[in-house]
Amino acid sequence: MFTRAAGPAARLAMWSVLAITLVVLDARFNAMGWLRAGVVAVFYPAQLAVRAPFELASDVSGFLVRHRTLQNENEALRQANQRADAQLAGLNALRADNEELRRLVVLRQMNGFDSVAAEILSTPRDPFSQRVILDKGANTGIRAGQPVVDGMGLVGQVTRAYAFSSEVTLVTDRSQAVPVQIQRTGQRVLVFGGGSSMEVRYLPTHTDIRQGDILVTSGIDRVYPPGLVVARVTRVQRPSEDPYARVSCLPMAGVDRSRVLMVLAAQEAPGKP
Amino acid sequence: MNYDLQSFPKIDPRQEWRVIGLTLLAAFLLKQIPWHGWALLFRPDFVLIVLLFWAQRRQDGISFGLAFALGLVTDVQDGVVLGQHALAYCAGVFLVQHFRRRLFMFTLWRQAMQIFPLLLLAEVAALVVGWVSTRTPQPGWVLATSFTGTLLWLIVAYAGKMPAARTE
Repeated sequence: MFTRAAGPAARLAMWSVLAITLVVLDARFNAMGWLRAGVVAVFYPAQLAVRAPFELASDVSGFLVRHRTLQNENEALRQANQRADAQLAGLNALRADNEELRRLVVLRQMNGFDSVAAEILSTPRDPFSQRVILDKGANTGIRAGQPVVDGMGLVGQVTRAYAFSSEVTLVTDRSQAVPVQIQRTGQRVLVFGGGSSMEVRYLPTHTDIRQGDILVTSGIDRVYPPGLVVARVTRVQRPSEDPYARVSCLPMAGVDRSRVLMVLAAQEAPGKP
Repeated sequence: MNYDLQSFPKIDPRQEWRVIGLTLLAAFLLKQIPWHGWALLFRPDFVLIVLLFWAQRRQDGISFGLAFALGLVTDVQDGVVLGQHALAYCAGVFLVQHFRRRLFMFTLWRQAMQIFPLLLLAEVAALVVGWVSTRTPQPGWVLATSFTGTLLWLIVAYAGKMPAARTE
């Protein structure tokens, strides 16, 4: 203990100085990664243990789905499968075409990515921070900066990789910007997170962009591979008093719904988030 | 509902740290429950409440070191700048200990009315530190948990007063 001479106010001041030193070291110099990783490693088992009964409960309730529901679902899936088969036949032909064209124009082919499937372990306390914690970390090759996708499109980016877990900032986070292309016109724009939706900013009013346009990653930042579906334009406003169009979009991926996500390990060294 | 110093159940000093440890562990585990969406708005900071309860209840209070360490764990788990909650917890513990005698003069309801601004202050301190250090918009909604936190504090303080809490 400290000497009894130091009063509570003095001791509070001392601890405050320590706290502020930590804040500065962490926020300005990014120097406290080891401490973070240590704390996470120590408390990871507790987190898993508390989560287990909830997992079990959801598994059990999932098991007790009514037979009728399953039958309906099965029927729907069969139909969807048939449609998909038909589409696949067409797609295979297109892919062959596509590969030939790529060879012709000597385009850099998008390489296969190493991917790691991870489940969402928890969400941070703040419901508006748009971040999730995954149950895989540096032990499976996940590094900060890697893109995260689900079956429908881009979900976000790994911002911190711990030993056995990692933190993903979703594309809808206000601090995230993704360089994208409008799929229809090929124009490059930036799409920013806006809480639960997304928006394209700094787009001159006359730009050709419409409701329903799909935005895909352009790949120019070397963080996201080109061609990942990011968002669909839901509304375009062109206010006369403003030099920029107001474009709202919704993410295509199940940013707030998907439970299993894929972390893509890029071939080149990924950029810093 | 009289709530003066004499009316406490006495805890054996040798058992005291065990009780404190167990209650803090329970609070920590409650925090690990996977809450989703809007429920998060109502989730109080269990660890802070229990910490403040003991800071008021214990004759010698709670050491700033313990508050600091628990704050760091919260910082890591919330994925925010380190030191943010460490500072807030220390400030909360200091305030409770500073007003300790004064708080004991009131009934539980009146104490709760004074705990509320205190919780609010701790959350605001964390937000301000977060904003100053990263210049990113801070989740002002977290302040709403001060309400539920006050309610939880009432429950905890009431439970702590009951004879069942006696460990002798």
